[in-house]
Amino acid sequence: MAKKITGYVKLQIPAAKATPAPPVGPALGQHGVNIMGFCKEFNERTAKDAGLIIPVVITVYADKTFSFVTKTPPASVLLKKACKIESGSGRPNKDKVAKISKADLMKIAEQKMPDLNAGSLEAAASMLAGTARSMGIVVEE
Amino acid sequence: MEWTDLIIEISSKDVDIVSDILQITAKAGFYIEDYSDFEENIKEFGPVEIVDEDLLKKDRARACIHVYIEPDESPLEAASFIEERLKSENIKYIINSKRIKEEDWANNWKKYFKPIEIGKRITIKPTWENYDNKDDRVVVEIDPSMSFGSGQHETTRLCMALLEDYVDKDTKMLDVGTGSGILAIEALLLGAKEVTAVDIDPLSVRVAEENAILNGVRERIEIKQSDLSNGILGKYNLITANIVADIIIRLLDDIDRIITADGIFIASGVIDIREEDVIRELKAKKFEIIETKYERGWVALAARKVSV
Repeated sequence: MAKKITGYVKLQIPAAKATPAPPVGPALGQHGVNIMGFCKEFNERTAKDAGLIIPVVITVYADKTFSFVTKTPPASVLLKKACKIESGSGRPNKDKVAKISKADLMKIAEQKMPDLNAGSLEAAASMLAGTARSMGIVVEE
Repeated sequence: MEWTDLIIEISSKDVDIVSDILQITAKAGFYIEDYSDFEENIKEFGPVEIVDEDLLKKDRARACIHVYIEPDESPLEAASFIEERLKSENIKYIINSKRIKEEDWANNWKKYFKPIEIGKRITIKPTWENYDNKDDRVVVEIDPSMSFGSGQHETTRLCMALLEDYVDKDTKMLDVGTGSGILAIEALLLGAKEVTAVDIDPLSVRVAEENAILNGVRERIEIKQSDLSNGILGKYNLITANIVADIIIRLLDDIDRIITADGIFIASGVIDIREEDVIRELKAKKFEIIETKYERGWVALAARKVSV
């Protein structure tokens, strides 16, 4: 029997480290989901991505069961990882924190392609270049 | 303990860029209310099902991102950092905040936790619900508090259904990672001789004790805080572990010391992608798999120690 969807929740949380604290607790608790149940399943499914932030989309049904799908990590997370930096620049126009080569940018574009609304790899790369600049990362031509 | 929920309302087309900015401040992550891709995304969950009307009415053009500030951190500081970054990116936003308490969200699911019938003759009954036991079932009463093991989750249900087949009056059971104590209590209500239950989390030890009292089995159960089988001395003819694959595998390192010849080991909390890993370890420890149950991506296994 088809189940009625009553909730739609998007989270961006560290892989393999979900806990009942915010943001998971309040976001899912308001829909009546068993928070521990979600944390256990999310952590098991994302164990291999530990250390990365993972976007997850959760659908909650009328009987309070849930399904979720995980997405590729956000561009900023992949950029930080590629540049080996902890965080982006607080003043991206003035303070540059790292450099990234065009080739590395293309690699991230390939990884992000399934979740980006981009027609081509080039278009995806140029979206990523924009994100990089807003974080104070210089894209080398 | 009051947290602050910073609510940043933006156009849904700006969600990605604002998320990128928030990555810097919100290390624990954040919650996004954004319905702009709702129709597209729910297709991934299978054929489009019935959707609640309130969800269909949500504004597709606006999104809200919730960043939660811990009780001992300054919400003003976090907000001003976020606002500065949003301004420098020329993003239009409205920022609001509200105070939230743990009890506002932590216990909400209890409203939907109803008595559940499991296996052939078990029923789990939350303490706050009524249950008419007309079929003379074995009723396990549970208040899981914040511990794992409410019986709502597949891993617990699968494990309880398996356990039912292996408990008799000679059972001497060890329950590792007992959580709410639900498996240990079930075994005792099914007639097990004695049960030892351990958990690494002191809160779980307390919750399990309360549940044992509630079910009138406190005098037949020993409950203690322990990291897996550390500090366990005797041997048991039934061992249960409803945890997760990696921890079960770690427990198996020490299993020979604590299980009798022909003893039964029931493992649950194993996600489908890890089933093979657990089976491999069990076989390496000279166990034969005698029963497997599956539900919604979770696996529970019963295995017997092969005597040599």
